[in-house]
Amino acid sequence: MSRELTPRHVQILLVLAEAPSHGYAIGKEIEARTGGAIVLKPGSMYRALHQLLEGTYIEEVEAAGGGDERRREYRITGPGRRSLREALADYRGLVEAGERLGVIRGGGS
Amino acid sequence: MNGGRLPEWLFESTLRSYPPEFRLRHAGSMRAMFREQWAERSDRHAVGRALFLALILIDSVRNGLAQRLGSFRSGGRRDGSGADSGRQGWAEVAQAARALARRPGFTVLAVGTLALGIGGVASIGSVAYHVLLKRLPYASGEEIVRLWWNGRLILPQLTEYFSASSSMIEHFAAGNRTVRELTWVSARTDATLALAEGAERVGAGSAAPNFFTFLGVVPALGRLDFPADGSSAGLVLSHAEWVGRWGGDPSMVGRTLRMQNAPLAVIGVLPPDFEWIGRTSSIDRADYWIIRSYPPIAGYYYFHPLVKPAAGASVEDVRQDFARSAYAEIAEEREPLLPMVEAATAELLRDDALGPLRIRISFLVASVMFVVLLGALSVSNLLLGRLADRDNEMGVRLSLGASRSDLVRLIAIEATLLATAGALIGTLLARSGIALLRAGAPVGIPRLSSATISPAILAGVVALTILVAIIVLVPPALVTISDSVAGNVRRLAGRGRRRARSRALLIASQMIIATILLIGSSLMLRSLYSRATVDLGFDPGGVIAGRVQLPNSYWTPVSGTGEASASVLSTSAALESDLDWFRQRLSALQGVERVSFAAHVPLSGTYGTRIPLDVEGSEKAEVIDESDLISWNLVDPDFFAVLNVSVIEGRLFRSDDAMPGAAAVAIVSDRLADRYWPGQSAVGRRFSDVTDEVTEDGRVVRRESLVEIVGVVRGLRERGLEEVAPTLYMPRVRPAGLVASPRRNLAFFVSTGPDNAAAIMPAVRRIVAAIFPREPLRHFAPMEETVDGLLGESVFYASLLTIFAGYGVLLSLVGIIGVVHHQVSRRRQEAAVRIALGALPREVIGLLGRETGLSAAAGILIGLSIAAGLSRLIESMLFDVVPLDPWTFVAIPVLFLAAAVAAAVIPGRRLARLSPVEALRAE
Repeated sequence: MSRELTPRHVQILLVLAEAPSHGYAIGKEIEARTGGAIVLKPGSMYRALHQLLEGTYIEEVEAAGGGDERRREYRITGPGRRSLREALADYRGLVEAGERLGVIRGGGS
Repeated sequence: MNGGRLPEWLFESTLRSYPPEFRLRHAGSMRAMFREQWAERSDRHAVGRALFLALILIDSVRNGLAQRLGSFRSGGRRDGSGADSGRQGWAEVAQAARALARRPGFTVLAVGTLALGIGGVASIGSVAYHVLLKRLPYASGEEIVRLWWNGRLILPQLTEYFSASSSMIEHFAAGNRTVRELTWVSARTDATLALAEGAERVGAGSAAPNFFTFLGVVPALGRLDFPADGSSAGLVLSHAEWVGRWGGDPSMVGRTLRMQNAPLAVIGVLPPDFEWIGRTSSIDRADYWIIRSYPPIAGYYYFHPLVKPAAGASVEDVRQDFARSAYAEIAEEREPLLPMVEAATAELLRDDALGPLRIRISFLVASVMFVVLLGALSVSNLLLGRLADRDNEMGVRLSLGASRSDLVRLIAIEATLLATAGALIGTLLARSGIALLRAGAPVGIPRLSSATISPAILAGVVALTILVAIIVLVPPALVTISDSVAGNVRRLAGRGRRRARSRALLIASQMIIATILLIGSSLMLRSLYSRATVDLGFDPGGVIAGRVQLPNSYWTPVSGTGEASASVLSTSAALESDLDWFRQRLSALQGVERVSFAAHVPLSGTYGTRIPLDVEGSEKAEVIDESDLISWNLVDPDFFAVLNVSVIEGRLFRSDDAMPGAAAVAIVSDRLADRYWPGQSAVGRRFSDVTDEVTEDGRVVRRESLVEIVGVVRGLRERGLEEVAPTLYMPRVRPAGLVASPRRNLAFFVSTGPDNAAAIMPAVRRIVAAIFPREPLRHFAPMEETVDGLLGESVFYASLLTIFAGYGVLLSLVGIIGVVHHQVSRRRQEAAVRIALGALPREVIGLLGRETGLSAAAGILIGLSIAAGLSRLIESMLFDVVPLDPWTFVAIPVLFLAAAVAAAVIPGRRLARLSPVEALRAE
């Protein structure tokens, strides 16, 4: 299942792993974490969220104050958290393989 | 890119690319996210924002299409894991760019086509934006209302239209309830500026002391608001004039210049970008503004009130208020004028100044949008053609595991690259395009000089580029998607048919657009032709005309008339002896055949109007509006001969008509005779005319006398090419004792041999300068040139549209050639077999050409019906051509269809050379 997750999905899940959030705030957080290198635009953001919803990695929650559809929040689900862990483990495996082969230098930050 | 309306609208429209259920679920959130991201960048530079907007829009459409393809599970790509998505994107762009570079012919053609279209839209769009859409550059400019009074003022026989008198304005200013700020400006005109080297006519305006403050203009130098102390006046210079003529000398402020023979102190200089767009003008720009406060005077209607409505007051409220005030003036007999129907008018300055241009410019914008649409369709067609040739490449990619959406993305990137390159080159082209438009445009388009590629235009180009990319991308993308739906076995055949259908649709759409453009340009050309060949009623060939204002010295004031109009008396003896001398000197010039004088030059835009004739034995005619008035001119006996006007009935003027004691006579045009005496002879009829006469004790009295019509001549198009007005001619020199009207125009006409005009002009100018040294020469030109000048505007619109239509036809014919060419290559084998079985090549060509011919014909028919609807919109721009001109609507489509068929046959001819052997080889 985790193979379906692209780096973009993983970025979003990482943000939601901390706390439920809405589209714009997720985008701002990713932008901050990557030092402005990744700015997700509405189209990409919501298509990715849609895909994560379809795969039940995340679910919708009524935000505080509810009712305003523009403030729809998303929360990571149990399977979502598991898949995120798997994906990150996959990445770690890939990074370690890269280090072993000397493609990248290990031990970084 | 000010405001957030356009960006939001653009974003909103990209949401349409998503499937409905996706939209239902996420559109609101996406909108909110867009707004926040957009607001976050509000402090960025316009270009940066435009770029960001473009990226958002592209991203949105891309994801929308991908979502529609339903390729969720791979997230749009199978090799997506691990790689940085941004870098992956760039790799794809680089790959697409390399693919395009491998096909330089295709790429250059596609980019060139798009660049021409986008460049055209950017040039004309920037003119439209700066002339029509941009806010008026004045304080609360969009609120300013222009008021005027449509009345007539009856002098002995003259009728004048007017705006308002200073007294009307004063009373309105004091008594209104709907206006918070009020000023006035008068019609710009030319005025005489005395210079060391002689007198010169300069563009001048006149306005109230608070005019520039009202508009919120900040002076470049000095001040613009002369204290309104009731007696003083000052002069304000335009920046261009200050720099151009006066060398930008700061000590100009305080210097005294002589304008209209009166000393005026320069008080300030306008900023360089100031332009007054008011339509109250007979000249293009004013370089000298006379700032003056007037005491309230009734009877002089030279003032155009401008107001800003008070809070809550509508334009209509202001109009009613003004009407009330003006009717009160008339009721109390303070103004010698008569209201016409709906006498008070109020209109927003924006509508008043720019309204007439709206239809013309929108028409150009629409035409050039059609061109860009056509260009995009052509490129799409080319791309579709390329797909066939790339079947192998695509097949390899598919077998390597690329998904359909990968292929669509590749096409999308190519389309975006082509559109972007087209937009960049097009924007560069637009700079020259705007320069050309400025040079070729007819005079009198306000704010044209400010048209540039501004950030707003760049934003428009970005939006257009996205639109173009989508048009280019959709047909090939649809074919690719539907290919994946068709089963593997039927793939080849199914795809072929689908492609044929897409191409038939493309051809038809191209033909629709090209037909609309073609009909539009044909109508304009027909109209131009009618205008150029219109029967003027006279022969301008070989005639030089000019006009001077006769100096004050010929008139002596007369007291006791009680009428403002008769305050000067013609000392006609002195004037006539000078004019005799003038005539003799002109006649003595080598090549001059005849010389004549009159009051007005036909087609010069200044022609007299007067109230209808008061015909003996019938009731006085009512004047409701302008069409009830008649034209008039005061002419010498030779006038009709010099201009070659034919006499229909009766006689022309004779020199003894001016003798003392001679009966008052007049000549009328056929149009006038028809109006008063339809089907009967006008000769011998009499009408009553009011004249001011000097009595023996030197007083002026108004007297009514009967004037007899002695001749009927052909009507001239004297006010312009559009109309033949009913015209009354009276002798310029009247029997002694009559006071000539205070019109001091002297028009002169010199007829020369056919080719002499240009050679004689300098000598004529010298003679005028010798006799009237202080009076500048106006409208001095061969009359043929004046006629050509009147055609200028039609030439401008007709030639632009012809360029568009020519380009459109070219694109659509190339499209047809491409399609048939493609069919021929595809169906070589079938054709060769048929030929081998005994079919004539002609029949085979016919078979292949039929489909294309049918789509083309369908397109032309649809185009015709749309054009028929649209042509009513440009009715006001047409001259002597009905919008549904049968020639245009029959001949043009037939010719176009013939060209389309010819284009289809050209590539088909290759078939004739096919041999069966070749066909087998193709297998």
